[in-house]
Amino acid sequence: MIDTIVLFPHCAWEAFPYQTILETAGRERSVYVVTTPAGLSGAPSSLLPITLDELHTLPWPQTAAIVTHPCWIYEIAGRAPAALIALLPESQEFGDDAYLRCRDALCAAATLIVASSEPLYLEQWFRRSRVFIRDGLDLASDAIADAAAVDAISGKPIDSLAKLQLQRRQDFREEQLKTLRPSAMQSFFQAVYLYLLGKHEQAEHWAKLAFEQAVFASEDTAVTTYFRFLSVIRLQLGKPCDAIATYGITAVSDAEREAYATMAALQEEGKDALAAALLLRMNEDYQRAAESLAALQEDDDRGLVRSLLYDVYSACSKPDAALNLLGETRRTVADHTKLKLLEGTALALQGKRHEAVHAILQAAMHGADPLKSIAELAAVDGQAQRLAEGDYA
Amino acid sequence: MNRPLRKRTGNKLTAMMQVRNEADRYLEAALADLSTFVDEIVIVDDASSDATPEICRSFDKVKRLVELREPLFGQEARLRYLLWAAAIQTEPDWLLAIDADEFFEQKAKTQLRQLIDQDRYDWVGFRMYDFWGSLAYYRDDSLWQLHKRHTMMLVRYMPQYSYFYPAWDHHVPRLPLSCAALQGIGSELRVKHYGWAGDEASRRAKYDRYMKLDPQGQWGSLAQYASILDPQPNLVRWQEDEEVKPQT
Repeated sequence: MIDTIVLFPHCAWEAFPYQTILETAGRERSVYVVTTPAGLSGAPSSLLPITLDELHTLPWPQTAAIVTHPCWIYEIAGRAPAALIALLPESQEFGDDAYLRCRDALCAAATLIVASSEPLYLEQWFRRSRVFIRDGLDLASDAIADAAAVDAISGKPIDSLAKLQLQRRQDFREEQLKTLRPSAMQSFFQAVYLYLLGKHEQAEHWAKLAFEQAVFASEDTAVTTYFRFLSVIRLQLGKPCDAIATYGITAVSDAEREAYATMAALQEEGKDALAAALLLRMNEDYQRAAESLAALQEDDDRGLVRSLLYDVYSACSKPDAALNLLGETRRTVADHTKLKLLEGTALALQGKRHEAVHAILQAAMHGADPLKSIAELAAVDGQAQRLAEGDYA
Repeated sequence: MNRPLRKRTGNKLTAMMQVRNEADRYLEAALADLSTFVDEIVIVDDASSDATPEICRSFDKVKRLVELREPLFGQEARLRYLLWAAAIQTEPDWLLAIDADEFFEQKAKTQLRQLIDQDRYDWVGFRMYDFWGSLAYYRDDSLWQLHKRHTMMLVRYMPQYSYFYPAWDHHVPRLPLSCAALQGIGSELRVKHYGWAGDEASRRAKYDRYMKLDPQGQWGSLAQYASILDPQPNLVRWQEDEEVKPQT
């Protein structure tokens, strides 16, 4: 049973956008906030400040961590809270590459995610389940997100709430689209909602419309963004040949052309499921790709399933799962460097800082580039320290 | 098994053309010329009242001729869709959209196969020259610069792609708008457009028709319409390039 909540905030309490969630979930629980007393100005007296050095005193197996800034990821790593709730305000959703690595690691580790924008919300749905949005556009939808966060803290299942919100958002968007100026992106989002809900025929209609609108607007990515999405929709519609040909039409780069050639060859060999998994991966539908590949692991004579799974787990910020796929085969220097870097990332996310640094240093034996990862870890630590001291600039 | 999406050899090329009362103009020459380098020809005749259909039928490579009883004038998008639908029934790998008064320069006829027997690009644009007052000169001034850019005429046909035209009444592009969203290439090969190569009276007739149809310049530029009557346009003599023959 969760009797303690610890909040890792991105701002002072006065500006905190999730006060109601914390107040509701905090009833009859001890609530700590990693900040200074000044950072809690205006907060209910039941909320107590806690320093980074004191975090080890919390009863972590009975504690829910609520995190609103990705830079806290390594402070939570290894503590194994009973629930990890990632609430990402819009200002904290996007940043540079290093920031995004932190954000993605947090999202991968979280029990549930509450995004503030549709791009992140939908992106995460392609990587995992239990994703919510709370953007202030639709009160009913926001209420579902709040309820999910509170339920997760209470240890209740939230998958059905996530589906409910997805459906609610799709209904809401359908109404909105009647009044909005038609645009490729709006139609595309609608197609994505319908795809995620399994309404593939409707998804196909909206994806085609998005493509047409993008062509009329002379958008450079009309084919690679909008038309390509039709390939996975057609796959779900039970048209694998059309699906792969649709992807092939959009394949421009050498990597994409090679992937298409592989899909077509697999299909020729009758390995439709593997071809489909590759198609899902190339559309960045990592969640469905992982599900398909997991079922194919026993029939992996050429190692393609393992290689794709490795790729998918890496993209989804699951270094532990990716590492488990690497066998004890002979490796090139580049492979060794990549492996040690991956080990470093995995260890850092397990809270094993010294071991992580050691692995990264091993990666740096053949070139200094991996040392950037150590600098990155230090920068994240520094940012977490500043947040803990109430410096939210 | 799916048909190959893009082939490096053995591509079938179908030419598609819409015509209307072309019997006394360049149609016969155009079809004779096309017959030397395309595999099949598909034509939609927009209710001609002259011998246009008979001329079309006299060419073996014309595999489909759709004859409309009523003209689709003012419904150009519909006409384009009709032609497209008829052309793809020939199961082409590539489609060449060409008018009855357009002619590729000589060397293009052998080089066209090289342009389609590849798996990288899905459309090809050519330089189109507006011949003026004769078959010896093309027009080159600020309002007549079609040859300075590439006009998409040749596209790969891939059945799973979405092909659509804008729903306009006039000046609808000759090929679906969505073709241009694919990877394409501009070729330096030239196409001769003889639509303005007739005498002054024929150009005056065209001018009158444009002004009647589009007096406000909704579908085209009024300045360009006016320039049709320019008494002294800048004309450049056409030089037909010699084809480079392989060394023996």
